[in-house]
Amino acid sequence: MGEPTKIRATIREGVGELRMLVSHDMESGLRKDTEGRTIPAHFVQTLTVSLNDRVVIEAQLGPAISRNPLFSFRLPNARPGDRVSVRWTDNLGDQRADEATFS
Amino acid sequence: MSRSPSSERDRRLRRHVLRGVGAAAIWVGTGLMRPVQVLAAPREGTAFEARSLAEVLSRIGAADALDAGPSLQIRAPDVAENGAVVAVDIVSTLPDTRRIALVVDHNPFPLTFQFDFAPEAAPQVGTRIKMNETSLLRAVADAGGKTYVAQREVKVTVGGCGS
Repeated sequence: MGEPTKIRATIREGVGELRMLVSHDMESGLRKDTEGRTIPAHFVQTLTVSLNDRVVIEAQLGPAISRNPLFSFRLPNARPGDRVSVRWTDNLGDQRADEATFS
Repeated sequence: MSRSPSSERDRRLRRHVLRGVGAAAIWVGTGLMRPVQVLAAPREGTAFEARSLAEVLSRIGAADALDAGPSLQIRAPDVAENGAVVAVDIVSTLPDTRRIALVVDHNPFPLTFQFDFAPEAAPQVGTRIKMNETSLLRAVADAGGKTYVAQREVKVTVGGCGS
C-alpha cells in the first residue's frame, strides 16, 4: 500500500493551491544492483486528483519522475471545506488513495 | 494539421475518462479497477514505451506541433547539478488547454508525463524529474483542438537516471 500521500490544500488569494508528496521509490528499471542485476521497474503510472468526487486532473507518469514524487497544481475555484482526493496506481498494481480538505 | 489515428483515439479516450464513464479504458484513470486489471493494462505500444524521440512525438500527436510562444512556459533551472531531482514547472495560458505532456529528448524513455485537466483545474503542473544528461525539454500542450510545443534546454552536471 505504501505510505500515505501528504496533501496540502490551501486557498491563497482566492485560488486553491494543491501540493502533494507521494511516497514511492520510482525505480526506473534501468539501475543495476551491486552484483550487476537489473533492479526491476517499480513506479507510479497513474495519478488522479478529484475535487468533491469529480475527477479534475488525471496523469500518466513514466519512470523519470523523481523518487517520492512531488506535484503542485492550482484549482482556481476550490473553496474552504472542499474535499480533494488523490489516488495513484503503480506498474505492479499497487495503489493508494488519500484525502484532504481545503482550508 | 494532420493528426495520427492513435492520437485522436487518445483524445477521445481522455474525454470519456474525464466524464467518469471510462472505467474500461486502457488507462486505469478512474482508479476503480483492481490490481489484477491494472496488470492487464500494460503500456506496450504506447508513447511511454517509445525510446526514439521521433516516435514519441508522433505517438502523442506532436510531430507537427505549433510553436506556443510565451503561452506555454517551462520553468526549470538552466543548470541542474543533480539530474536525479530537477524541478520543472509547466504553465499553459493557451485557451482551452486540455493536456500537457513533457518530453525529455535525451532520456531513455523521452515521454515523462501527460496530465489531463478538467476545466476546474488550471492547466499547469509542477514536479521533479530525473534527467540522464543535458537535454532539451519539450512541453507539449493540446489546446483548442491544436497541439503546441515549447522547449528549453537544461544542462545536467551529474546524470540522474541511475537513481
